[in-house]
Parts: sequence; C-alpha cells; structure tokens
Amino acid sequence: MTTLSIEGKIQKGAEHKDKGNQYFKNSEHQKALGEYYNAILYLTGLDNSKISMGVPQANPLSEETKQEISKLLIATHSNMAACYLKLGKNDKAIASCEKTLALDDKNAKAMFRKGQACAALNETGKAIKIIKDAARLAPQDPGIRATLKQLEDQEKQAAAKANDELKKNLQKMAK
Amino acid sequence: MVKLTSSDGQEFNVAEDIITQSQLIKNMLSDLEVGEAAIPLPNVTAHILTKIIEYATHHKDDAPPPPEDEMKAKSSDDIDEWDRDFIAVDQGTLFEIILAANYMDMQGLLDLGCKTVANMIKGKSVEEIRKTFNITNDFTPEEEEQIRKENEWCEDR
Repeated sequence: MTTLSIEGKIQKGAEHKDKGNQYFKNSEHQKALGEYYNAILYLTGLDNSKISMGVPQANPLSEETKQEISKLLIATHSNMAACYLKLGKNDKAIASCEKTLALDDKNAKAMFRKGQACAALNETGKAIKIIKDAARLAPQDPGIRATLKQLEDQEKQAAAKANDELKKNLQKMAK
Repeated sequence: MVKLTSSDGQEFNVAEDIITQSQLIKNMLSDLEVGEAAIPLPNVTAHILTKIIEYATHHKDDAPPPPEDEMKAKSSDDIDEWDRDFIAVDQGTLFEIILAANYMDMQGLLDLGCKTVANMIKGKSVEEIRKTFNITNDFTPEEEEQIRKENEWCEDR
C-alpha cells in the first residue's frame, strides 16, 4: 500500500459513502454505518485550512476540492444520523446532525433528523422548535410537515390532559 | 487489541484501553463490530501515529475530561514535564500532531499541541512571529500602519 493522493482519498471516501447508501437502502443499517465510518476516516483531515491557525499551508487545496470534500462529509454525517435513528441511538444521531450542521447550517434534512431524535428522547418541545426551522428551509417537504403536525397534535393532547388534571385537582380543593 | 493502519501502510496493534482516548476510535468500537479488521487512518503517517500511541500510553489512566461546558479556562502554563518533553519536536511534527489529534478527536493532545503553539507566540513581536512560522508579510505599508494604530492601546511599553 502506498500513500494515496488527496484525489485518491476523496475517491475512496466517496466509494465508502455510496456503499453505505446501498446498505442503507437494503435496511442493513449496521453495515451502512461501518461504511460511513470509513468514509469519514478518508475524508476528514484532508481540508485543514480551518485549523491551521492562519499559518499558510504548503499545498493549499483549491476551492473546488474543498467544496467537494465538504459536500461528501455533509452527506456522510447526515446519513450516519439516519442510521443512528434507525438503530435507536438517538444521542449519537443528534451528535451526527450537529456535525452536519457545523458544515452546513442550513441543512434541512439534518435539522429534521435532529428533531426526530429529540422527539424519540421525549423532548417534544425542543423537537417541534427544530423541525419548524427545518420546515422553514424546506417548505415543500411532506415528511417534515407530517412529522411537525403529528408532534404538535401530540403536544396539544398532552397540554389538554395536563389542563384537565389541573381542573380536577382544583375542583377537589374547592370541595 | 485494536489494529490500525497508517497512511503509509504500516500496521499497529494497540490495546483498546489506550487507543480509546481517541473519541473517533472509541465511537467506532462501540458502534461497530470491528473485530480483526484493521481501522485505516489514511490521514496519519506511521511517524505521527507512533507519537500518538506514545502519548496515549502515558495518559491511559488519566481521568476523563469534564464536559465542555464545565471546563475551566485553559492556560498554556500548566504543561507538565513529561508532556513538555513529549512535545519538544520540530515544528513540522508539532503541526502534524495537532492535525492528527484533531482528526482522531483526542482533546488532551490537541490542547497540549495548541498550548505549545500559543507559547511559541507569547511575548514575541510581529516580526519575530513571522520569522518563527515562516509567514510572509503581505500587508502594504498603509495597511500595516492602520493595524498598528488600531492596536496601539494593547502594546507593551
């Protein structure tokens, strides 16, 4: 094995990502996750311009290459979040969404997935807030809207129930 | 034991309780059944990986770092003796260690590297810093004068 060029690593990363997508489609989420990890291993650490502390680098990457790496990493982290959601690892799903959003703060899909993970952790209020942001960025997405409505209904019901109980308690006290 | 492959194809066997100081590897081991398969580290050379493992071996019994929001302010003066000797390397190696620590998500080592760079900057004039890091001055004299004026208040006299 010889050291791969930057292009070679990007290619390898992209291949692992695509393989991961294939496994994901076949509902093999564990295997998909493994491929995504490999994609991350190839792709992170290629673009070091952000942490080089302003010191000029010997071989700076072209803007185009940086964009390509960033695009692949965004897709990989976001798809990892989808795997974690399917595997019920909601904390890790949130962490992967945050990594996606650090690279692309207007990524509606990652926001939606973060919201879904919050909902699965029973943080309905937080989930609604995040999914509302996602809906604003992707107003046409039927999945986002359906989930938002479902969560809002859920919260309304919970609020109504709490209200009823409060009423009952007050009536008891009045007697 | 965990198998790692460096970018130049060298294989390393490292005990799990040592290498899990890398948050990236720790997550991988907890999410996947890695087993006998080697984990590729295509962005870390054997030379740097050897240093990383040396650091992780020395620090394997350290208490885990507190969560980010409970962390106290970091100071570049609190580097212990072993760490200082460990990080006394040429500048190229130092930067590669920092990049690898960032890549493998090892907070302690990343802090050590960054503190060391901070100490290389501390107390130096602009010209000395340029010399230390081999930075060409790409300001025009007008720009330079402007910046000097804006920062006059914080200069030591």
